[in-house]
Amino acid sequence: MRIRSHARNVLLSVAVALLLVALLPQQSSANSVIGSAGTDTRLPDTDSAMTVSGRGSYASLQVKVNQTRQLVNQAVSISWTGAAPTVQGPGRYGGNFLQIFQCWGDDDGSNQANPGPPPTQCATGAASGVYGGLPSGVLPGGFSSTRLISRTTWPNFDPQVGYVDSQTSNVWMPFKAVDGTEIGRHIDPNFNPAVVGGNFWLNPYFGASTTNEIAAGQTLADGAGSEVFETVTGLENSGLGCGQRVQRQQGGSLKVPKCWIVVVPRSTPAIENVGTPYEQDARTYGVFTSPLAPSAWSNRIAIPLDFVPVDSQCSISQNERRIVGNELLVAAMTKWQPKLCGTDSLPPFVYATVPDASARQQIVKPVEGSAGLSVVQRPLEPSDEDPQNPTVYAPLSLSGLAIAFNFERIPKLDAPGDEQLLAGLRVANLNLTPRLVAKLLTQSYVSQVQIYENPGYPWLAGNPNNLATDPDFLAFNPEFALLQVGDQRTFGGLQLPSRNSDAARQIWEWILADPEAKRWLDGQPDEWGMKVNPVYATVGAANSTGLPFADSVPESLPKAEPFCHQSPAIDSGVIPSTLCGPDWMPYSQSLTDVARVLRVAADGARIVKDVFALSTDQVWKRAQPQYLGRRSMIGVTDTPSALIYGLQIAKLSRAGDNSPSRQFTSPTSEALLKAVASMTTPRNPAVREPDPTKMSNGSYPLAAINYAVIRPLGLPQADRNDYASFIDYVTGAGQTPGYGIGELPIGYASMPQTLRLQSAQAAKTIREMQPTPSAAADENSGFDGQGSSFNPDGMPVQVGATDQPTPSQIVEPSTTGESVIATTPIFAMSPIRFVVPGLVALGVFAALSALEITKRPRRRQS
Amino acid sequence: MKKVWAFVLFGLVASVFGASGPSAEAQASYQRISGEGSSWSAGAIDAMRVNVKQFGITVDYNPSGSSAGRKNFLNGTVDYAASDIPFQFQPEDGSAPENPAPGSYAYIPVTAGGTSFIYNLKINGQRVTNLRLSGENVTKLFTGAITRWNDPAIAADNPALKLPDRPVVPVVRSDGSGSTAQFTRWMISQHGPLWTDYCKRSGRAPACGATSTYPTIAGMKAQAGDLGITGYVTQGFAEGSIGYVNYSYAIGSRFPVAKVLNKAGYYTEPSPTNVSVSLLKARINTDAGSPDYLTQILDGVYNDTDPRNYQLSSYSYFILPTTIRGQFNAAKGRTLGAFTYYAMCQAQQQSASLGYSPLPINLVSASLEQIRKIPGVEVQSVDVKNCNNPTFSPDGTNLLAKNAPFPSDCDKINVTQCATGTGGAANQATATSSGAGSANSASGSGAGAPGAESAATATAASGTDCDPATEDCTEANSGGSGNSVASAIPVSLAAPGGWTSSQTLAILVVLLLAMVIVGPAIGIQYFSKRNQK
Repeated sequence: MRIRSHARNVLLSVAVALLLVALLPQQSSANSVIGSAGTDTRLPDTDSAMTVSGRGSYASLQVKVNQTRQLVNQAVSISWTGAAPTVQGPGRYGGNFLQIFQCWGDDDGSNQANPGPPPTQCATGAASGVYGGLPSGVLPGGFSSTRLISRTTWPNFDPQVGYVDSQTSNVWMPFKAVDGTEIGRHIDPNFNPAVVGGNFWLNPYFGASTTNEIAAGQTLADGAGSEVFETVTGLENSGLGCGQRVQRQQGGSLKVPKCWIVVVPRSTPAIENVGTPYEQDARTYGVFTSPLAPSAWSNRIAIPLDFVPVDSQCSISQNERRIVGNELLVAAMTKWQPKLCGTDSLPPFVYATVPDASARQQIVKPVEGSAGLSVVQRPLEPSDEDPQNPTVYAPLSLSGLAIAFNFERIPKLDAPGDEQLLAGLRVANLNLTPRLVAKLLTQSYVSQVQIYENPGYPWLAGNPNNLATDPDFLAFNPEFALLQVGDQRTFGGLQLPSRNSDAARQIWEWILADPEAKRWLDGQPDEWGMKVNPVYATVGAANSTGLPFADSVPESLPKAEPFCHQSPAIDSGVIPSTLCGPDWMPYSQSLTDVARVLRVAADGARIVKDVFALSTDQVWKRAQPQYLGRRSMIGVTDTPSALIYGLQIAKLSRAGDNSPSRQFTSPTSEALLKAVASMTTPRNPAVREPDPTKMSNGSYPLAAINYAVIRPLGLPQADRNDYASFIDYVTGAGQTPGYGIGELPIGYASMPQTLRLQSAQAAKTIREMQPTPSAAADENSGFDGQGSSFNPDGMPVQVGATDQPTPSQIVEPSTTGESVIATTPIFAMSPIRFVVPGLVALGVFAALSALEITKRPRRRQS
Repeated sequence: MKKVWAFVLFGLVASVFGASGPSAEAQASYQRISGEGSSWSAGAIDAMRVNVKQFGITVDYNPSGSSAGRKNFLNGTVDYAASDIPFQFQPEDGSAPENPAPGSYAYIPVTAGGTSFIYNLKINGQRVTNLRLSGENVTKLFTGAITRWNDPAIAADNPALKLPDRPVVPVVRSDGSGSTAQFTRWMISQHGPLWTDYCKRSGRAPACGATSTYPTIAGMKAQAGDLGITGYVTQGFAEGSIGYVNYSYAIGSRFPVAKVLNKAGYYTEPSPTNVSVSLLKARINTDAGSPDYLTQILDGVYNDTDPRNYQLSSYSYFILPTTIRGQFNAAKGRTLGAFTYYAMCQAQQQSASLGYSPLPINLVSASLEQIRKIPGVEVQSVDVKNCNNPTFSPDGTNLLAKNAPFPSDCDKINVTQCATGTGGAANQATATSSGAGSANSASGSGAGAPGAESAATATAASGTDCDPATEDCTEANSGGSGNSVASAIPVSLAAPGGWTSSQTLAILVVLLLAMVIVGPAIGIQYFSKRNQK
């Protein structure tokens, strides 16, 4: 129960916290701006929150973890007070920072006051391989983020501690895995930092890309700090084995290992470097020693953790039920799957991500190997409905699309002193309007088009460099007037997924329905003179291509700006390849991948020139991750991904709410449910779709319901039963919020009762539907287009009811403007179009008259 | 009321699902493994790794290109690699040879697919979705020998399209790529002189063999990964561009791919069924002692004369470690074994939904043997019959290939081309409308607007020409009117591809007509008989 209430609480508490911050009485208008974008990004406390104190010179340090029991692979908050403020130089982390990582094992008895594991059983020391070396400023310097604790030549060398690598004279703190394996030193004798993903300290259990260690957590001027930490189970790091019965005891039996979060506070270089050659001039070197070295380890703070068992009950079966669909279901699906496949009567369900349109296509025109169930946001086009093979829709999940961000404050030099104190602190909230999102999506800020040179476009002259310099943005986010941006490139545009999706379309619909945004897209400058990049102008006359953008609502998030930068030849004579928009801001693989990119603050853009390159393909190198404390990332993802990765989510205003006091809404459960209540059924009564113009106050504009789509009559009964059971579970127990297996992950809202009942009914229909004897033309069929063809009570289609598409639907695609991708219907092109309805009418008449004729004998009889 | 009902429902569901507790005893856990390599096969591999999560198996994959995958496999920083081509013992492009220790690795094919040519072309603002290209023209487009889309050679492939006078922008891979290697090998094999000439012009000569790094010249655009190429070609400003990516990327971006002319004289696209047919002609190295065991030689695919052949079909491979080394240990071998068993059997069902083609039974069987070489693997005796792989049949033939539909007549060379869309734009037809001189005389098949309508009736009559896999339906102008049109003002058609509304409509018309004519008569007869009883 603790966990169940938790997910919902997280969202609600975040909202409440934000509200409190906003309502705090402020001294004066000048000061009211300081910190107004929110300073608290901690996750809310649970009833298993735990605080542990430091010792000795760190006696005033208090470290709190917001949740320590019932853990899975998830994000937890680690926050602290009473520490010395972090000092800079060299790099961002010159001294006074915290190092945080996860360990396994029983108390080693080294400290009565604070039991904890031995240093050999901690997963840390891999982060320094992330960047292919140790760039200053990204991580603390020296060996402070490695497992190198000494060298045989150092004054502090103790042959009793660590593993001596005779080849290099390095002394390593070995890693002892829960299965007993001990890794003494870095394995790869030919360590090559140039290898992407190369790892300074190689081991089979955790690496540069998988480690959850935090190499440096920053303490602010008030002595406080916070970080989001990813707890890992044995599935993610089998060297630790948390949540798994894998630790062999004496006698051979297995037990679940104890697990810990360990925090090692680090002091200034002068203190930390005692016993090393870097004691002299310590400040120029920074902290040089590993947190696992005895001197640092003696200060370690251990916090015990308790994990939910994660061993899968499933064995790989050979019979699977396949489902294809969009990405919004993935986070929940990965939690439901292990529950479902552990259920005796059910096969494993597998899910493959395809664009919504492809998923619909696989229902309309199944090919060899198509899945029987598709998951999409929007229904089939009415013209694709088949009376002989009716479609059943069942709502499965409710979540939201999110503009998520990872932004750390860099106060301007002239900002007030109180703002300076917030340096490095993460911003908790952004307020975005449809127009601001339109600006980010249309490559209209200078930082998106200025690729090493200004293309000199006249329209660009009056435009701001990036979001934070746009007065339109500052009006709703005043604190940004006091802030610089770490990387203007990544704050003038969004990190975007590459695939086509209904989600992309929903974002455009929200923007296009907003008068303020639409006017701007039409080509009218905003109040401060900012103009849309004309390749995105939605009026043909204003568009540089002569054709209006979004004439049909796009189902992708394009990078349409044509400018490319051609660098001159480098010294070797090699001519670099051009850099265009998609190079400058590369696409991510998926919505989840966007969240990952935002979290690591590295989009992998190949835009850094290597002047010594010997061939064209070697010139442009990947940009490094943004420095800790200076990150400025923003992108499009979904609510579960954003929360899983510990990102912040922008509040959005509704389309049409253009007043100065417009309201901004977070994707809380409440706001998602409100949005559902505002949704309409424009094309199919069984499928609610967001109508941006009808969203009520307090609704989250980018709420999204995902629907199962299935045509039962085309499937064997066994498949139908399994899919129905899937829907039953997912919309029943699967809607219980929580972190555990089978539960609804954070970021989703439990669906309201009406939707769940619809799904229950749909599951029944899927099991029981029988073919209709014939598809005799329905009496209501006329030429009134869509709308009359579905059961109006919002339930899935019923066999034999008035659910058959009329002939006219087949002839004429919908004219609602929703299906605008298709333009001119074939039969509109010639007079033959009149032949068809004529024949249809004739046919209907004939059918009816046949019926009428045949009735006559009976009447005579009676 | 509703609440009560929901409660009951909830209880029912809970009892069904909650009751079945852990029956089996806890199994040993799987150690996380990581891999790197091909972006071409990334879609298939991603689906596999996401779905094994439910079995407690955590697998990472970084689609950074085949070359990077092989390199980091040799560096020991990843546990497995995916590569479209084998280790390059003797590279033909002047790059350094790769030298894995003999017996330290094994190949298994992971999926099959087609390297497709995704393009961005419009005629009067309407997207072209039915472009056809001969192999020679493909080569010329990617070697700078054809620089504008209105080139007569392209027009010869596309008699019904009047392509714009717009520069061709070939988009190639900037990173080391197996699909670049496959593509260049194909060009060298089929159109060698064109490639050699280009190789000289690009400054790559004398190392003019197949290469993983495409030599570029001015006017070309290089992009990282299939994702990079797709991301570039699909932009509005990239009109005139054409790139090579796995078919699945075209599906993902809802963009068309070019149909490529095969040796049977048909223009085809790399649908899963066509790829299955084509790869029947791949020569697989079956010498279990060879360092290239199970790898492919594709000349037979290039030269296949089956009308369904798509020349650039190929397999992509996992490279598996067969020795303990670096950070790879037996515990990881156990995970890799379970994962690859899954990849060979269950996962193959998913391929076609994603735009890939499932592996045939002979390769699956051989791969199952290879998996046994992974240290730490828990050997399974997989009964391949239970894999539900759509290519398998009791007699061992490739069922998917056997049942693969044949191309439409309008896909034939020298015939006015099909209007139906391709790849991710299968449901967007392109008009092959009339124009030019012969416009009005083109109406041999009926009303003023040619193409689609006549096709509708033609298809309805013959009935069975729809290809469910490619969503190609015959839209042939039967016979006479075939070559007639060249378009002046093409119009985009709304017709969904495949079994389009036009076909449905045609049948409907016929049925209704039948109803009109015979309906009343039958009805009267039937009921009057009944009444007589």
